[in-house]
Amino acid sequence: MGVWGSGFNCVFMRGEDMLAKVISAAIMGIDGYRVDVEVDISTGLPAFDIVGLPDNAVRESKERVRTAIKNSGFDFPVKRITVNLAPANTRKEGPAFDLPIAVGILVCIGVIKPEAVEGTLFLGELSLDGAVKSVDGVLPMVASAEANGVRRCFLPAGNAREAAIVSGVEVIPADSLQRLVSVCTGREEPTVFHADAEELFEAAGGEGLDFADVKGQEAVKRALEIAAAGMHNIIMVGPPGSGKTMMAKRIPTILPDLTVEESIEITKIYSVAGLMRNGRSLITKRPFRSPHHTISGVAMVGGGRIPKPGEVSLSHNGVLFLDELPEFERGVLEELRQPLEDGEITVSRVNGSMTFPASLMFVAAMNPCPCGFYGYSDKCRCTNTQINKYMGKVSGPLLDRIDVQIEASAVDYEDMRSKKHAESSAEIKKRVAAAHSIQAERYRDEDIYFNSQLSASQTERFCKLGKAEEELIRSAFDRLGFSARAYHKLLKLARTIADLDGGGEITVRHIAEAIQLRSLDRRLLC
Amino acid sequence: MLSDENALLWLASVLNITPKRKHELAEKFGSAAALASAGRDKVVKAGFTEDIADALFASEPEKYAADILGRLYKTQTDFISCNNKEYPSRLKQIYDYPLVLFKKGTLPDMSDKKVLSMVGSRRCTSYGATVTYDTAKELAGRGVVIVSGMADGIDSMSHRGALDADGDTVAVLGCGVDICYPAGNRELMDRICEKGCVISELPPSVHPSKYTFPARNRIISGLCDVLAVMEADEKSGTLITVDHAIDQGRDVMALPGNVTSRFSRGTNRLIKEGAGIITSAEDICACLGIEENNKNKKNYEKINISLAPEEKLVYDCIHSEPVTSDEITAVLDMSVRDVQYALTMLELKGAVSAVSGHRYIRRL
Repeated sequence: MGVWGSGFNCVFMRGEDMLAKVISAAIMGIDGYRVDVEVDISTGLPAFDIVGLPDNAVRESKERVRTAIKNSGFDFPVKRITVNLAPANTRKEGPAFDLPIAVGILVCIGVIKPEAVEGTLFLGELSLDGAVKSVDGVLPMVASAEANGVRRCFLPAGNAREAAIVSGVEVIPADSLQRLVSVCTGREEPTVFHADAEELFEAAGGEGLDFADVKGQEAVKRALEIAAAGMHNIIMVGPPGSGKTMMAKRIPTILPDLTVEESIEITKIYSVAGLMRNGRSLITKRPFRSPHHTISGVAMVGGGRIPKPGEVSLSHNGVLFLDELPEFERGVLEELRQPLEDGEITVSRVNGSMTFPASLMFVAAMNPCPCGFYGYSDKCRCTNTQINKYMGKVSGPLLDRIDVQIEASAVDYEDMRSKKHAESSAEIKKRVAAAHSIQAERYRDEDIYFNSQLSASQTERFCKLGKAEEELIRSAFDRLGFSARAYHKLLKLARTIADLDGGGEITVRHIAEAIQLRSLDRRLLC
Repeated sequence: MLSDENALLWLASVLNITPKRKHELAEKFGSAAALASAGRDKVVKAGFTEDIADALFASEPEKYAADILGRLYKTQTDFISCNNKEYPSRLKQIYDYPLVLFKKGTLPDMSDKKVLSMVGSRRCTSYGATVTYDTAKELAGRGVVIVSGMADGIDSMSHRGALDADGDTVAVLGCGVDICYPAGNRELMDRICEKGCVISELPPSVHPSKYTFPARNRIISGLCDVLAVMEADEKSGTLITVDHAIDQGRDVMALPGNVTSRFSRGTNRLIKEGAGIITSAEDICACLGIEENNKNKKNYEKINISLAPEEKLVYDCIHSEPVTSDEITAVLDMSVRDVQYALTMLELKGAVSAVSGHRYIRRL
């Protein structure tokens, strides 16, 4: 904590030698940490060196800084310049250090007074004409700076909206080096950028998707409602054109609204992943990520030399939708097992191991056979071997992490034309939100939030059954051929259905409905 | 010199010679044992081709028989030669009966029982599957031995029906009896081995090929009194079994299907060509010569189970053609949750069954 607060910028004059210290920041995982940019100018042969494990983009900043200072109307010192990025033991990447290095040099040559940059965070990439360009990961960097006592920051104008969400920090957008100098020297009043997270939330409009658009498929819609209410993972099996993708896209519209904290957490991830360009400020909608089935393992769970979050983390607090599940590479699907289990993903690389949050609702869709029509139409000519092979591409352990299995039927013309009122997302959301708050209340003293996270022992405690209920489950196992692994899932689902019903005891009706949500588990007649 | 039993085992286990040719060889030399001691040259001299002689004596008969016996021991497989009195008498009537049957499990005594072979496509409809299952269950419960090929689809359903009725069932494989083909039927195979019998004319560890199945089919038809074809497309392999049955003088019956269904084109044609028509288990009983049993008669009109009013409403929407729960919801104007509840209760009472695609069919 204290590290940030103790930051001060000073110039020591010893003869011709000068030293300046400017605060900047870098990213580790999805959190920022302080980087001190120390600039020393001394006499000697003209040179410009950057030390402190800079990567290529940082090393190249020499040229940008030199040219930007020159083109902003200042003399670049023909002296020996040494820049140190402390702490020296972590690798620094990206162009965000251009601005603090330039400011450090300007402090050293006396253009800016050391006091003017004291306790101030600088981030930004320079272009050759001195303009300041947007960088990635601004929100987590500013947030951790704020937590550690920094009260003012100079940022690229394009990142101002994102950074301004952090309350307690004066965000001063800098569009060019020249104007930044004017502000620092007091020739120009700083324009402080304000944004209010609460206001942003209220201003956020709907995105136009609604469950009312989905005709028919009542059973699947109900399954999705139950899945959303307990944050259960769900797989939909059905022929092409049954509306699996259409319904999946609408899941975020029935999940409760994001809280400000959740939203900031998501925005941090997006910021680090470089998805906050173009002046986006705050992610106010639950993410819906639908990666293509050619995705690599690294893109799915995160990775890279310096690990960046993958799709599972970009779906944090939202929905990860994998369409055509068996088409994904086996390895990629297996990598999903840890995040689905733990709600986070740890990526280990040579530069360290990082943990990204990945608490998400996993939604998968697949056809019943390679051609898609098995069991729905005479059209299907797939052999049993082909069908078994297709279904076998999804491994047992992955299916084990999916609580709800529902089959979607083909939609016919009658359904499409039906004028029957379909429930809107808002109506469903109300019930889901109520179920969420019942769970939050029940699990206040536990380390979980939703029924889907119940461990085996917690299931025993929170899903108590009466005699009639036990009897029903037993006969379901005998008669319908459920596998043993379905037992706890049935209980958890029954708990969620009961929560949608007001949170009382689990009754026979709840269990009976849960049984219909495990269709892949069963030994079917054919 | 090999004993008679072991010589038969040797001859039966030699690959790449048709059963018919094996019979000719044994006949020519008097017995399998005599054939084994005759040697390659005498076989050629007796007018058989070099290929046959080579196949016979690729390895020494004594050594080969010992090897097979070792394999039998290792895979815990039994065998019955055609001289054994346990060998099914009906099968011995066909001209190319297997010299030896390899088996796992206990072969039911079929001499004083009626035997029904049930065959059909691997890909079947819920209609074919349920009628097969019900018919097999009903007949097995009345003492009929159900024979089939343990393939997916109709074959599996007929075995399951017989097993669920605690009746006798025999599975005839197109590979060694230590191999489960299709592999997905492992659980079914274990059940059959335990309560019934799995047989094959191929020695253990022989894998299936496209030639082994037609040969297997002649055993399925050879074992039975009546062959019931439950569902078959026009070009189904099932029709090979029908040809064998006709050659062997067995009665053939077929289950009629929807004229628009491609899965019933073969069976419907068989009926057109004169096969017996199966409209209930009673039709098969009549053909097998079993007395009718009116007490057990399945009644599609009247159900004896007690249903709650909402279950009755849902039950009335479900017929033998699969319907989705959405269709029921739409017709009844009930909420999804009530329909789902009723469906589970109906399933548990055995009144309806779920089939793929979240659809339901009537079972009582």
